[in-house]
Order: sequence, then structure tokens, then C-alpha cells
Amino acid sequence: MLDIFATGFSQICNPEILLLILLGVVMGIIFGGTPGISTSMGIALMLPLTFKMPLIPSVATILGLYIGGTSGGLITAILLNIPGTSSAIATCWDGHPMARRGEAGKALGVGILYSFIGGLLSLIILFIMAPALAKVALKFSAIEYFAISTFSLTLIASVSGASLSKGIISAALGVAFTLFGAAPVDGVLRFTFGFHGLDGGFQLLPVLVGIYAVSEILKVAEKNEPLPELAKYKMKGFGISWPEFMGQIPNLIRSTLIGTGVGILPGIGGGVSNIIAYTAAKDQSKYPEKFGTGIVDGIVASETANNAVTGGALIPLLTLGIPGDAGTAMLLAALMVQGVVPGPMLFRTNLDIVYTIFAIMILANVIMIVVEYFGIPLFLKVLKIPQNLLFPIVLAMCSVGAYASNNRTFDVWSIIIFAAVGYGLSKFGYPTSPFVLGFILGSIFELNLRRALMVTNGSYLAFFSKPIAAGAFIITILFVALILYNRHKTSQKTGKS
Amino acid sequence: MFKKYSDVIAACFFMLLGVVILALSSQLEIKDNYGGAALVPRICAVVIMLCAAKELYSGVRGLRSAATAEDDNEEKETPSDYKKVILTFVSIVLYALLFEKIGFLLATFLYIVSQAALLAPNGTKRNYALYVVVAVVFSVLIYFVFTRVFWIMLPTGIFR
Repeated sequence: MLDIFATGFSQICNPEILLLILLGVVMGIIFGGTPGISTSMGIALMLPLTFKMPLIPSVATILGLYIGGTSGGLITAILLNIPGTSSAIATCWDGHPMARRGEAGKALGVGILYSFIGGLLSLIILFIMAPALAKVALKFSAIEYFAISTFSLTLIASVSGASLSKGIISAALGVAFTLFGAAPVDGVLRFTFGFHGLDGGFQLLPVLVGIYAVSEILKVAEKNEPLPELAKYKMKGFGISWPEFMGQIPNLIRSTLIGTGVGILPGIGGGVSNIIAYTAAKDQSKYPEKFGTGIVDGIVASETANNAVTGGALIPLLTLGIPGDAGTAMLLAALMVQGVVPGPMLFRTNLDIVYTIFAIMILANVIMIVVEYFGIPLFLKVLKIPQNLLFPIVLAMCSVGAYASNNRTFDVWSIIIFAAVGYGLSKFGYPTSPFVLGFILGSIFELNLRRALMVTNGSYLAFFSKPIAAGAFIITILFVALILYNRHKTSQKTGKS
Repeated sequence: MFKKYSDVIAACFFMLLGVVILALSSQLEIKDNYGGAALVPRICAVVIMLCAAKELYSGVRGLRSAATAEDDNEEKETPSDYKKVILTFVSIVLYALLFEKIGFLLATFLYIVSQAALLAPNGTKRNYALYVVVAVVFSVLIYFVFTRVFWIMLPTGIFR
């Protein structure tokens, strides 16, 4: 295994790749750190530029952006009390009170340090789990793939947003958008209405750009708020003493496990993990009343967990081809453009790519801690660029990217359609992440369902004869029941109060 | 006002969408005994309609209870500026339309200037000179990066 790792590192130890990772991390921190502009938007913007690059440089850029972006949100969360990305929501809760007390430097230092540690620990879990899981996944038949995609869709539908039915509608709508064009298995043309642009269906890139970049611009147009005043800060070291560090170890381990676990579950990312880790840290703490008043425990939980998602989210992507969050969905799009299809076969045929990805992730984390530690003054300057200038440039880049991927205006129109869908969904209180995962999993879901039915001669009951598939179906049902029960309990509680 | 009816409106829309998908999938050619190409469209339609029915039910119930208890959360939020949303959407559509007709450079220039002016926060002075400079620099920069570094052809339009 060590020799493959060495090969991975040798692939990226050249100035060009290092520069691209650095560029990615810097851009990621800027996008992750700027309120209103998400990391996904940053990756969507850079995706078209990576199309014409060879595989390794393109993956290096995207992963740099992903790692930088996940961590960058902490800067504005602490100094402005606005999370730069949803990954840093819980970082605000203790980070900003610390900043108001004059401890902004310490809050930033702790946030950066634990982002790094969380990211690295989750990578170790990735190294151990991914090859083992890929071995199991190699034996999967259509039935298991169908069961796992059903599980993933149900899971994301039930955890995002306040209403289970809204989440499911959003996911089903995402699947519905994959139905245009030739059907899998028999190639029957569906819903093209004689329009040939639709024969091949919608591509993943316009969906991601439309939902994550353009519909965000529409949201900014709706509510355009100027940024509040920055808190002053001064940094010295990472602001944490050795006894303090030792005291945080249980919190660190718990938050890493939560973050990586949330990352592994398909479609749910940093936005959920930081809040769960924060709540868990508070519940387990000897002094829960101090949470929210500005203690390092809160920052440690949130920042460890959101960066631990990065290693976790790569596990389902690399082993099953199912992205763990929005960032890995973008990586999937980049890999597919390069002709690399993630899945268990990748571990057989292109093990070098897998280990190069691992090596890039390690390096990106190291670059992230250095750049973020020394670069904060610079990022605060970027924050002053007026958003009304930034957004049109982002949109222009995205449109060119969509156009360039196939050289047709149809993809530019697709962006506009999906921007409208994304804006409409969130306007009516429907979460958009189930839609995106529905779109990504739609074709896997359909292809494997139809293949599975052929194998079982049309019997759905026979799906339960496969242990892994049966397990996935049972967990799906139990999970939905648990969510419904919890929601019922909370609604009863609020009704009483 | 919008918030009050939004759940019911959305539920009705999805109900209708489910019916449309069902109707369209009934016209599809089916080549096997297990539902063929129409199977997943039908599953989608049924799932959407079932959930929309649930949303419609809770939406109507919500309307009744909202009639007695007034929602006071709405006032604290920043008011929504739908005129800007529509204008932004229109300018993006125009950009896509003009992209091939007048070429990438001119379309991008026009788009950046108008979108920057449109997105300027209310109450601030619009600095058109700055918008023009930024638009020229970035449309030329993006054009050169894509055509000269990545060798991707972009529509040249009137600059042929």
C-alpha cells in the first residue's frame, strides 16, 4: 500500500500541480469565506476551466477548492457573525461571542487548527474504509445498487428541510429530470417533444451551475443586504495551550466521527455535520450552559466536524459513484468529463488515480492551514469587493463553461431552466439538495431497478432475498419511521408550549 | 400574504405535474413486461402526487389556523425585491439569447454592466464608469483564457 501512496505523491510533486492546489485552496477560502457565495458556486465557476486540463491537474484544482471552501467559512463566521458557508453556521455561535470579547485571534486560530486536524483524521478513515468498501461493492448486483440509491434518496429527502414530503417531492423531481431523452436498457425516447437537444437528456454540469450558482444570484437580487462591521483581531500562535488541547481530545474524536459519518451518508454535507457536532458537544459537556457565550469547545466541534466531512464524502463517491455532498458532486462532474467513472472498478483498474486523490487531499489540507493562517488580512480585503460586480462575472464564467462543455447553447438554456427550478423550490420552502441528488442518482436508480426486475422476473419481493439489499431497505424504512416519530414529538411539544 | 398560500399553491402545482407525467408516460412504448420505459416516470408521478396530497392537506389546515393567529415573524426580515429578481432573470435570458447572435465579447460586456447596476444595493450610488471598466476587462480576459489557453471556440458574433 505504501508504494501506491508513494506513486500518488510522485504524481503531484511537480510545481504545476502544487500551484493548482494552492490556487484551488485560495479560491476556495475566498468563496467559502464570502457570505452569499458558496463553495459550490466557486467549484462550478472553476469546473469549465478544468475541462481541458489533464486528469490530475483538474482533480487537484477541484479538491483544493473543496478543502479551502469547507474551511474558509469560519473567517466571516467569527469576525462578522455571518457563516461564509452553511458548514460554518455553528462556528458563529461561539466564535463571534469570543470575537466580541476581544478574543477573535484565538477563535480564528482554534478554528483553523481544528479544521486541519478534522480534515486529516477523516482522511485516515477514508484510507482505511474506502478500499475495503470497494471490495464489498464489487460484488454488488443491480438489486444492491437499486437498494442503495433508494436508501440515499430517502435519507436526503428526510434530513433536509422541515417537511419529509417536501424533501421527497424535491428528490422525485430531480429523478424526473433524468427521464428526458433515451431510456436506459431499451433506448425508448422519452419526453423530447421532437426537440433533438433533449435526446441525450440534461447534463450534470448545467444542473449544478443552475442550482448552486445562478439561483443563488437570484436570491441575492431578492434580498441585497450590506455586510456588517468586521470585528478586530490579532493572532498569535493557534491561541490554544497544551492542557486546553488535551482537554478537547474527546470533543475532537466525537466531532471527527460525526463529521465523517455525515460525510459518508450520501448527499448530506458540512451544513448538517457542524450543527450535529455542536449539539452533541453541548449535550456531553460538563458545562453546557457556557455554550454560546464564547468557548473554544463550540468552535472545535463545528470546525472539526465540517472538515471531517471531506474525507467521509469521498468514500461513497469513490466506492459507489454516489457523491457524499455538493462538493463531491462537482468532483463527480469533473471526473466524468475526463472519462473516469468512480465506483468499485476504479479500485481495480485505476488504483493510481485513487491514491493520487488521497495524496492531493493530504496536501490540500496542509496548504489550507498555512494559507488560512497567514492569509486572513488578504481575504478580508477580498471581502470588500462589491458583490454586485462579483456575481455577473461568476455568471458569465459559468455560462461559458456550460457552453464550452458541449459547444451548444442548449446547455446555457439548461442552466437557466435549473436556476428557475432551484429558485422556485427554495422560494416555496422545498430543499434543493434532494433535487440535485435525485438528478445524480436518477439514472442509477432507473437502470438498476429495470435490470433487477429482469433478473427477478418482475418480482419486487425477491429483492429482499439479497442480504445487503434487504438491510438497506429495512434501514430506509426504520429511518423514515424514526424521523416521522421525532417530528411528531417536536410538533406536539411546540403545540403544548 | 405569499407565505400564507405558498404551501397550497406549490402542492397544487405538484399535483398537476404528477398528472401530466402520468399522462405523458401512458403514451410511451413499453418493450418489456415490467413497465418498461414508463416504469420510473410512473413511480415518480405517484410519489410526487402522494406527497403533494399530504402537503395540500397540511397546507389547508395551516390556512385555517393562520386565520386565527397572525404571523409576526415576517416583519423582521429584509423585504423581498421581486422586481430585481425578475429583471435579473430577464437579463440572464437576454444574455443567453444574445450570446450566439452578437458574440461572446459584446454580450458579456452588456450583461456585466447591466447586472452590476441592477444588483447594486438600494440607496447606494451607481458607479457606471467602474462597471464599464470591470466589464471590459473581464469579458476580454475570460474570452482570451478560453480561446487562447484552453482552445475552446466561443461565438464571435459581429466581431467575425
